Amino acid sequence: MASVTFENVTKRFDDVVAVDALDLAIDDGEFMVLLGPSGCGKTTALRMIAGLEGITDGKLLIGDQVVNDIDPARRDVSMVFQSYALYPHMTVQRNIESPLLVRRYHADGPDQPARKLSRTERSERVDEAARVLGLDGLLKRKPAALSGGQRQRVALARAFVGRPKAFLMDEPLSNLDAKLRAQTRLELVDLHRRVETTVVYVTHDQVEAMTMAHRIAILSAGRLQQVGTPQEVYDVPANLFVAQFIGTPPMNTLTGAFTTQGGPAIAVGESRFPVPADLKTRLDEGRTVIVGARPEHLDVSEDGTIAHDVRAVEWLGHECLIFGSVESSPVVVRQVGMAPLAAGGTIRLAVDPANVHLFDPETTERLA
Amino acid sequence: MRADGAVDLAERPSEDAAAAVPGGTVLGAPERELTAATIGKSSTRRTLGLVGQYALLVVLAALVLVPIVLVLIQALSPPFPYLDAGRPLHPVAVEWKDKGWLDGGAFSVITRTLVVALALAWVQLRAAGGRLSNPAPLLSPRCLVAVGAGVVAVAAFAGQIWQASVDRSGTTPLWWLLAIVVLAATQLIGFGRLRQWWQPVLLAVLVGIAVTAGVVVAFGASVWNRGWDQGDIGPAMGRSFTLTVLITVAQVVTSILAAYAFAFLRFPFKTLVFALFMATLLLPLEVTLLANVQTIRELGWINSNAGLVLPFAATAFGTFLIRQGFRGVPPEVHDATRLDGYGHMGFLWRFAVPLTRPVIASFTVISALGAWNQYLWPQAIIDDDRQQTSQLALKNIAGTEVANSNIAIAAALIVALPVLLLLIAFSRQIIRGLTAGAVKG
Amino acid sequence: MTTAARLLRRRDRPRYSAKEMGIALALLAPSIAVFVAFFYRPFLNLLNWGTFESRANGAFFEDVGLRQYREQLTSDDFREGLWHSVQFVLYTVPAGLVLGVLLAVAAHRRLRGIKVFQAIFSSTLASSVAVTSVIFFYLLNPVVGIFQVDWLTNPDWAMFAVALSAIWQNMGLSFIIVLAGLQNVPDEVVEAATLDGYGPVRRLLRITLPLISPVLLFLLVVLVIFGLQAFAQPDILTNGGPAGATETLVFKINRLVRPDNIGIGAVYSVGLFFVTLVVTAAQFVILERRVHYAR
Repeated sequence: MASVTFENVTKRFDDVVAVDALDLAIDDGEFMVLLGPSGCGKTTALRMIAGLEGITDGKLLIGDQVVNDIDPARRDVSMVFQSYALYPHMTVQRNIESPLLVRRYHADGPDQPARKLSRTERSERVDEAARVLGLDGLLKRKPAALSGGQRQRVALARAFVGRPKAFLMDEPLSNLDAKLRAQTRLELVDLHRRVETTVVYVTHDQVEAMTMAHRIAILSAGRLQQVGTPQEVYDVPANLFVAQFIGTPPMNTLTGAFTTQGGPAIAVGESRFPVPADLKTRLDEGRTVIVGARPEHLDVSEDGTIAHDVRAVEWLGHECLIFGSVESSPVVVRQVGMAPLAAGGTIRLAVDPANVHLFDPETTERLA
Repeated sequence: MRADGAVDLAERPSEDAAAAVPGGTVLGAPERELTAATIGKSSTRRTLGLVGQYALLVVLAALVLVPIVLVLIQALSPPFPYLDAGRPLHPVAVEWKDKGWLDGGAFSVITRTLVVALALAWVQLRAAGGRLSNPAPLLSPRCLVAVGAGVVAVAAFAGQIWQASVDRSGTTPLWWLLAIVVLAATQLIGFGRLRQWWQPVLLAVLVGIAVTAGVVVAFGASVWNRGWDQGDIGPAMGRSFTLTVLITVAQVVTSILAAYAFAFLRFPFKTLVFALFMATLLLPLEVTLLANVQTIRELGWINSNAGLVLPFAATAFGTFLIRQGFRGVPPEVHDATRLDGYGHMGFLWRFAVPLTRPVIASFTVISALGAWNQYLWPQAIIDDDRQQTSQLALKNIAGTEVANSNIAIAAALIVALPVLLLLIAFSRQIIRGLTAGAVKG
Repeated sequence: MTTAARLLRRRDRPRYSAKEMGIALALLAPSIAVFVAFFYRPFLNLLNWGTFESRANGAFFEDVGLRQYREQLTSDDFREGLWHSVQFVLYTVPAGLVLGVLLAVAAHRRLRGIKVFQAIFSSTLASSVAVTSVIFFYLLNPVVGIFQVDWLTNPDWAMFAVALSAIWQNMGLSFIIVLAGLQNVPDEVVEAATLDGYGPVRRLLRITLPLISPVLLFLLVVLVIFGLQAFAQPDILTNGGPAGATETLVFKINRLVRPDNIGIGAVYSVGLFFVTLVVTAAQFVILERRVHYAR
């Protein structure tokens, strides 16, 4: 088990910068999720940890050791690929055993030199891995004879068997159907609790990130946007990108101006958004800001200061989504229970100032 | 549904799966470098590894090219009597046809100039990042100047090299060197986009060598003419061409028709009939030769086009290949055309065929290749030397021109030229067709 | 399509429409005509002719039944022809497989200029048997050849020399087929092997080769069939000589294209058919187990 640290790491492919000056410290035993849209560099970052991609600039450390130039097989990490990458022509048992055949391990203790494992040791570890992942009885089968979920567990077992310092996972749930995905999420979290090994997990699905991670690192276009616990990135997004990436439906964002007429507020046309307490005195009159509020934080209220033109209402059973606009910017409201509203009407919304987020229109950074 | 088949489906990626690999390589390479294999190795080891890989490639390439190169050298060498007096491997006294670029008649001059201009233009185009479908980068002034200057350089120096060779003067190597250097220099004018400094230089030098050698060999030596005339391969090439066209057309048409029946029609015993079709692959000509020759004799078709074409007018391989292609057409498309009122033939010509154009193209090229290269069957039923195909003419020449090896070799290379051009132009299609059976797409 | 949709579709349509059957017949007719006339009927004729002994003047004797089959298939001449064809196979097939793998593995990587090498490796596809034979005729000719060796005139070496030309020619096809197979090996599997500590040799032997085994089997079958059917190379290079040392089975069959020998020729042809069939079937049966098919 070890920490993984990116110190100003950059990766360039010819002219394209895939990862730009990444500074990220992943703690020992932590479940860190690298989250972002396609092409944001999260998979590249993961592959750099594994040694499948070289590092153009900066230092990568596993534990205290700089691993930039260390052979992938010697970094003591293991990887679960998106496609599982099982060896189709080998049995499940051989697949799981594969990392143990050639690599050397510190079987006698962390201070003893690494050595090859004996047959009994290998066999023990394979059985253990199979047991932990519920693969008993499948050991003699080949991957083609397994279901998607089973194949994924074989991939996990193969990663587990070497008792690595870190598990690297590249969107392991994306090939599973929705129901299996939910179930496997729980199993993975459970596994991590038992094994307590550092996990670096890449995904584009924020639900996975929010439910599984200790901390989330959000990337966009190769740059780290924010790193924090799920609660932190939800409550205090560092910039507009994070604010709109986390949360379903995404945060509503509108352009407005700070005004003190009738009390400090953000004016969006005729509507008024309250200003968070700590910012009330620190903004200039007339300053343009981007104001954000999550759909779940907007309440329909007769005394509300926000005028919302309703376009449609979707009732989902336990809650409803009210689609409409405020001053021609689309705004969605999420409310528990049914709202007896008609399309075409106008309602008034209120929001707690603590749930209002302000961002600078140029830098898109959070104003604080 | 539009009648010209211009549906979005026309560009489906699945057809090109075999060839559409990122990086634009026709034959395919891994999507990513196997970086993992080189991380952790010292840079010396890495360089050594790289050198080793290139060394292996060069050795293997030599294995492939050496027979051709040696034989080409021999073709350009004087015939037998000179070999008696020792065994020179390089040309001693080769008959070089024309003494200057502008000799030999308008047709020759124009053809030569055009070929060189096109070759240089292609190199400039690719170096500037363009492709045949996007010729815009070529039209920049520096590229055009490079091509123009290159042609002039070639014209000027080729004549000198030929002259020197004919006079057997000692300055021949000097002229070669000069030609290559000047030509390389003219091409450098057009190279702007390449990254490190040595890339354009290397490319220019390679182009210089290739074009100079190509021009000198292809347009200079008289051995090609002599091969053509003495070997009398003109009529034979013509015959081969006619037969190739006939056979290819016949095979493509019958295969399309039969494949359509198997892919889109329902009739009893379809599986059985298909199996019988495929079973013919077990009865190659080598097995049925005697009986087929007998049949042709009885019909009086010896030496005739009918006898040479009809036994190959249909092939199970083509039916198989095109049926695979047809099965890739989504059934919804077929249903939509039925709703629009198209009958079977309409659907076939306006939708099925256009949508499987890549597969049909592959088969057409492979069919043409096979037809041109046929040996056993023409050999069996042609008994008149004047009606030979090109391949048979080669056998004749090899037998009669044993002493004049260069004539025979030149003739062989000329006969191989059409297929080589086909291979260069349609390599993607050929590869797709040949590997269709090997790899489940 | 779901099962329900498929069932509905089937029930919707009438059994077979006469019109459709008619169209099908029309479309298949040309192919069927060719196949019957030049594949099936000849084969049946051959089977039949094999039972007729004929004399030098071309007159047929009556049916001697399977006696001729037995006699000819066990004759020295047939066995010699078969042996020469088998020799050809033994020379060309292992070399073809090894070279194919070597060429493909060397050229399946991202290096500068790899396309040039790939083009070179596949170039022997352009050479027909006749062109190849002429090339090697002059390479190996004892008098005018570049390598003045006596391989083509030495009975012990002639077959090898003839096979050499085929080995060279097959390089292009082998390369292309094996390369296509390599393209179907997922990159991630190879990366996983590298992470597991497998070195390049181990990766090749334990991962790559097993995963391209279907392609290798296909290539094997194709090369063996080419080998058993070898004709043009001995025809041009040595004309069957020296002293019949390179007379392959098809070569002998070709020589028997005369009315007075047609019975014997027919027997040889049928023999070739069954040998090819048995050998091909045997390859599939024996090697199918060891070939891994994905999914």
